[in-house]
Amino acid sequence: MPRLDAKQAVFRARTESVAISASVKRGNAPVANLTANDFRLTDNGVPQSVEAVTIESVPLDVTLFMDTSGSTAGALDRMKSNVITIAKMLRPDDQFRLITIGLSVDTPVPWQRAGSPISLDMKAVPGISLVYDALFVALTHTPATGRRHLIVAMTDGEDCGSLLDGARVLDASGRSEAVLHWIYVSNQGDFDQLSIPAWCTPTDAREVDFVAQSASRTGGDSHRSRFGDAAVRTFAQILDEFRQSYVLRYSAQGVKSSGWHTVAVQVPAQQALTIKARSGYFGAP
Amino acid sequence: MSRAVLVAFAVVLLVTPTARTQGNSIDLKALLDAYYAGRYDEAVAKAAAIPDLGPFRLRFVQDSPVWVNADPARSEARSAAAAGFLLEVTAARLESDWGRFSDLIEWTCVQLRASGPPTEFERAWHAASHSLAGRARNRVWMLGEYALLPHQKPPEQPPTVPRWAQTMQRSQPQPPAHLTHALERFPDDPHFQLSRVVAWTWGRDSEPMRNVRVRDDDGQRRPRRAPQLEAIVTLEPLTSVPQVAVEAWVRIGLVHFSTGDYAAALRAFESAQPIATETSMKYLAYFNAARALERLQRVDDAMRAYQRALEIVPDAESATVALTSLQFMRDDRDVAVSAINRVFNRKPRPADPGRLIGYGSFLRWDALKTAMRAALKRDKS
Repeated sequence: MPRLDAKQAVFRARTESVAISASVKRGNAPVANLTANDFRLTDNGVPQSVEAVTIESVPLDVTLFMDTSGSTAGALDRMKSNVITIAKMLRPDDQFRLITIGLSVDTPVPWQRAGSPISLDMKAVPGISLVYDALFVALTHTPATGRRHLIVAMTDGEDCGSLLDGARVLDASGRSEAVLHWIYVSNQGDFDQLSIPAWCTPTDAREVDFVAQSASRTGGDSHRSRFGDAAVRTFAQILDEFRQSYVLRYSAQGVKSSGWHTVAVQVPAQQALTIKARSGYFGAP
Repeated sequence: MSRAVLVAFAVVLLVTPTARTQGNSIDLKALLDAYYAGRYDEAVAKAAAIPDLGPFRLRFVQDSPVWVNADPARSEARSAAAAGFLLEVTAARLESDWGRFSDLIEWTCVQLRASGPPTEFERAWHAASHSLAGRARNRVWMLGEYALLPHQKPPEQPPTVPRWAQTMQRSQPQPPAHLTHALERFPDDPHFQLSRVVAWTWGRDSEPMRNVRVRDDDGQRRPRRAPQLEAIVTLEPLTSVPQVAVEAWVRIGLVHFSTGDYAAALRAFESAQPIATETSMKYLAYFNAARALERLQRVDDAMRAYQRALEIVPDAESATVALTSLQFMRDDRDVAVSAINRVFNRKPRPADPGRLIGYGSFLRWDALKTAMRAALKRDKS
């Protein structure tokens, strides 16, 4: 199996060289040592010739999004502790950043090398929850050549006050190079009734689960956990599986360049596998 | 809030054992002395750092009247200082503790109103207090339970209230209707008139900055006659009052936007554009016009209006997110990513009117605090 070389790797989801993230599991165990010949990939229904690589040795850009709105604010101390622990789980050549939400989208920890000291200034801001705007900001990051971008969003997914709607985030997830995993965390009962009251009214988040759909579109998944040790364990599992996932690269043949490309990935020779892959991409106009 | 209720509130504070014990370690008089001497930030920072606010509340109710009357010749200025101090401490703990301060603010309001004819400090203090209530979007605290706009007539027959609800109502203290006190004291102040209609919309609108769309009961997304349109009747006359005309236009636009009438919203924002001088209002006139244009499918015009907004407040996060999302959709990825990186790596970022407009006059808190301090200095001298 070819190893990813920093000079040759292109992860841009564009027609000139398309890169599709795919994790392959049997039960809960990642399946290793697959080669390009094991995969069958179709682009808008047309079979493509792929090159498969593992990304185990590829440095990562990891965005951790923590929902610091009123709905999760009671867990602030555990969240801070989680950030420190998670940042320590990365390798020295990885990069890390933290996104939070208050009256605006904030980056209390901008991109920095893993292992660098973290100075945390996280506050809980009730009454607003800019989940969609934060996810959009996270999704726009373009990793340098030879790196991959993993987003882990710890939120209850309930948006309130964003400028962007869920459909825009879903669209951005189809254009992003990141793999987004959503850890649903809820902190019911921790809300302080004497803080700024929540005034949120239902948004389209209740109508369509845009966060879950966005994660799925990028090849990521949805999980459930709680802030504290449980969330760290879930993150560790996501990171481990991401490092053992594959990138399927190909030059799209026999399909129109522009518009949405639906991608389907299979491993025909092996049964009972769970394959999570980017569900498609927007081709260059 | 009636005097009786305020007395009851003070009694509750005084008999709380924990507050009484721990309160002995808080030297409120020293904090008030520091604030009165003009060491505002020092006094506020020390008070805001007190971990348990129960004892602080006790000390404030017990000690501030004593401190005010310790110098009878200057009691008015000292009363003003105590009131200003309380508001600034509230601001420092606003997000986590608004509900622990709002009753103290109203208690202070009673003291101020009892101290004599209205003063310029009292006007500035009221304006600043409305700003903090704006962050909490606390309509009931500002206007009371069933507030009406000036043009609205009370229902001929009051709604029938079940007996169990009547019992509950009797046992609950009535909300103070804090803003009505400012209107009683300064009936011609256009800022307070504007604040009244803005506060009236809270909870009736879908928050103006939000992505939420108006729905009918059957869940269909389509505009309908929404209750917040009543606000426009009160806002329109204010568009001819120079001090508040720009904001009145912006608020009219936001009401239309929240009801899905994007063409009317655009007209209102465009009316604000040529007369806006204040940076935040100028930004809002263009930024919101861009949002309306986007909803009207005039994407190129929307992008130009977002760019104009960003010329007014460079690197404002709200216009950056909105504009880059359009650029990203158009596959203009490099430009979008570059702007996102620049804005989100900038520390500190400028205050963003686009994010704050949903909170009444909270976007002017810094200016209102400065005005309150200036009035305090004038009263003192």
